[in-house]
Amino acid sequence: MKKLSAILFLSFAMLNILPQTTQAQCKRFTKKKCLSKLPPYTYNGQLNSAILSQGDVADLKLTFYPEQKYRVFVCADEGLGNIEFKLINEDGNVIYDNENTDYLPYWDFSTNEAIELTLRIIIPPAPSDALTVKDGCVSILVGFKDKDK
Amino acid sequence: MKIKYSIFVVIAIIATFVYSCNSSKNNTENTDSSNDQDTSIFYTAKSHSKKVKKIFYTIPSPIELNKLLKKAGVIFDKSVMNPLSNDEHYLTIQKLAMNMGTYGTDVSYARIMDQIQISLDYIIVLKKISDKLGVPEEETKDIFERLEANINNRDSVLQLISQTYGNADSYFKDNDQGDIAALIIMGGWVEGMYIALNIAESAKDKDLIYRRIAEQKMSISNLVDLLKSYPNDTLLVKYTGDLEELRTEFDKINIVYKQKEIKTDTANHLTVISGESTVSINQEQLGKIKDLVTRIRENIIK
Repeated sequence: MKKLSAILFLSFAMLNILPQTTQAQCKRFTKKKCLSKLPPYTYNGQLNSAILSQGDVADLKLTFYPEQKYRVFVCADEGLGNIEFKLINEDGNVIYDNENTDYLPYWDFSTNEAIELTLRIIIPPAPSDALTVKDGCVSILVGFKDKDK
Repeated sequence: MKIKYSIFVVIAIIATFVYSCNSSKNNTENTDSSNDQDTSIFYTAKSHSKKVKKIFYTIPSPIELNKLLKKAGVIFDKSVMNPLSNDEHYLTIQKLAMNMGTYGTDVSYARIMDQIQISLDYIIVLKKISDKLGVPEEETKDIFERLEANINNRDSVLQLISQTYGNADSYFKDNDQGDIAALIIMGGWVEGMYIALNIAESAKDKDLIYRRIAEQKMSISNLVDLLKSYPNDTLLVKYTGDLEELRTEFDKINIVYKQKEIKTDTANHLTVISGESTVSINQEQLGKIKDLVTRIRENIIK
């Protein structure tokens, strides 16, 4: 009886700790696998990462200034499949969609005026016959560098 | 015994259910509380219908604004930096976090303006604050050593400062302290604005600086949304109110943008966006923004 109580107590503890551990693993994944692919662009120092599931969609608002060039890098767990990302202007028009460039995980951008854009990340949905929905770490990294370099 | 066992099994199932709900809530954190309008947007292009979850916030790095100051030909002014002696006043984790932001911005400002010794002095304080905040030394020791060793290389210094920010950001987010990471970002942004507003007059190209200050209208909404996503942090709630007031002033600035051409260079993985924008800001608006930023910054650094 005491054994069973102990097991249940540990199970409760694990259930509470698990989400944080997964998030921490996601951050570690980003630092290990993704950050090294940003140079020569300077990392903006803000880690945007989360556990997303198949079929999820996430948005990030970005501001680009004309003095810089920007690299957007969407680094994701391979198990999630081809991650689509598109850059959309405030009128809803698509400026870039990586579906047209073989789902390349990064792209560089340059603008002649300050502009605010939305980056939309689309995780492919699970096949209709799939019994479970996979999830995995997705990180969005933004780097910048002087235009004239 | 069997009945008791069954009760435990039921409890375990309920716990698993509760965990699943929490897990799903964690994945959408930062959204539901502050962005109700986003939850009404549905993505329907694929077979699964999903809500758009606006879960990420990003604010332009203060380094970008500091680089612009140099380009606009400002004269370096040490008096606009947070005095080094202030670091002794920062005793709480929140104060330390906000001022890791201010000092980080100050280091980049000093280094971009080629003030090597001042940059070094501020790096030492930045290291001290990072230690007091508890950012593990194995993450920062190497960076601070490289900062000092590469002080003559401007680009390396800026890369390393960004890395310092990045390490602190991920350390606090890892430890479920996203509010502390948000305070660092806020401190850095406010300090960048304070410097720009106070040295704009010395610039050869004042209009360029005023224009970029006005364009921070695009960033402040994101910053406010980021802070709002931590409604349980009383200090963040206080600063959210202050920044909302600032956002109201920014909302009065008129920015009209017309997109012209988009060119994608597949070989070089580059998309160039061309457009034309008009930015209207007057001295009265600038004055009000300057007053509000000064007030917020005074509270941060005192």
